[in-house]
Amino acid sequence: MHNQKLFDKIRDTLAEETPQDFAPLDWDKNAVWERIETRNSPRRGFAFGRWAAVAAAFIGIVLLGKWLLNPHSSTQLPPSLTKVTPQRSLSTPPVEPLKVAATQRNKAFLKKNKGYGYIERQLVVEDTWAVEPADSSRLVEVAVQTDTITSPQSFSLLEKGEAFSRAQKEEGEAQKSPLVLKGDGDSGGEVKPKERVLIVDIDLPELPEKPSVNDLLKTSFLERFSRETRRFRTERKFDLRALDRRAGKGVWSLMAHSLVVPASK
Amino acid sequence: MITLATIQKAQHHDKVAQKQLFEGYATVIYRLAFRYLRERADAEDVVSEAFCLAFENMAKATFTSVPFFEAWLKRITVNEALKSLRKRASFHLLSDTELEIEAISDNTIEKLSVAQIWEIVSQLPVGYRTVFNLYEIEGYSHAEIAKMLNISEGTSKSQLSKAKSLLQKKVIELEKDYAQSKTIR
Repeated sequence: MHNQKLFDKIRDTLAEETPQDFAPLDWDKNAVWERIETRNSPRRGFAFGRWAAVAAAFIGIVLLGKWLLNPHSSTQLPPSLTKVTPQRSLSTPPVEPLKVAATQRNKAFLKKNKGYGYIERQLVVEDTWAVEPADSSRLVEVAVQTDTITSPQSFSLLEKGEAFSRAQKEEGEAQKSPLVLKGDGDSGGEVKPKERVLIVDIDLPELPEKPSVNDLLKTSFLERFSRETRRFRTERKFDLRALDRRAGKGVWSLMAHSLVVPASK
Repeated sequence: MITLATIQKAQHHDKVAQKQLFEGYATVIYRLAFRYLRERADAEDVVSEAFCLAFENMAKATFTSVPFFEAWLKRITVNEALKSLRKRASFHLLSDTELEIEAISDNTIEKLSVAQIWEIVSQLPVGYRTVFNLYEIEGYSHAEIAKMLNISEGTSKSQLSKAKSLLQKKVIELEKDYAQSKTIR
């Protein structure tokens, strides 16, 4: 190689023999070390950990709040009501729930709708509440609320809690009801718990009336005829299309119409 | 004085040992970076990046001798310098025609100062300078250079040849300038 001596000198100079005071090589060594120290500092990891902890705490608070505010997480009672777990024992036999059918009105309703097979589901809901009156501390009423649900609509109402709210609404009316036996506050004797039965009215939609025989005789033939004709036309159209695709453009396509047999026949 | 014990302590994140390593190798590493980048700020960035990477990854490596660690550190620096060159998008290879080579007298070569040598090498185009540094100073083979720069071996060889031709041309120009100044005096 030409001038190998020149390249040897360049190599040696660049690799080894550079004097310390060479101007282009002046640099801020301490600043670079500070940068390295800052980057390798454990505080950086600590700071990251601190932010991670803050983020985790925030997420925890959000989840806790969401759980607490969830209406399905716990049963929220009105402030005036305290739930009492029914105590079943030999001395106090369980109260038989009253059916809706016990009233004249519901008897008539069931009798009327029996033929339609409309009553699909029956559910008895029983719950016991101790009502603490605001004015008197001596009167304690035990309300036995019994609902007999005989329709899907009422069942959905009960699921949404509307049956209970309706029972609450009727509580005030029940005070006036002859079914409620109020405690004799003046007698001064021992106050016995009174039973109160709340009957929840069930609103069922009116069923469509059955068409009369005369109406059926007037309209059934025409309706049936038009319906059957329309169905036959539609099926025939689809069958023809399928057959056309199968047959292609050959001789069979000409015979396709005569070969159509509707599937319904 | 850097010893194997210092390197091993630094591997266990000993701050004093790391500082010793930095003091021992900082100048060499900076010059190495400066040779590729020609910019003081860029070279300082590469030095800090190379030492940070070295301190972070030292624990994973096994060093049997001090020169082995030095070579490892230099390799990290070269890689970081090449990365910096790519970021600046100034790394391109020239394909000029071959320059004519003239013989240079030994007298001229001996008279070349350190500053002049740094100057003429710094004036080389980036591609020439990078291949020249990698091959002549760091001692990489053309195959390794081709892999590092994502070029072919032939390109690496031609870039080196052109770099050398250009260096010789610049030295001859310096010689002429020196002769002219001598005549004027």
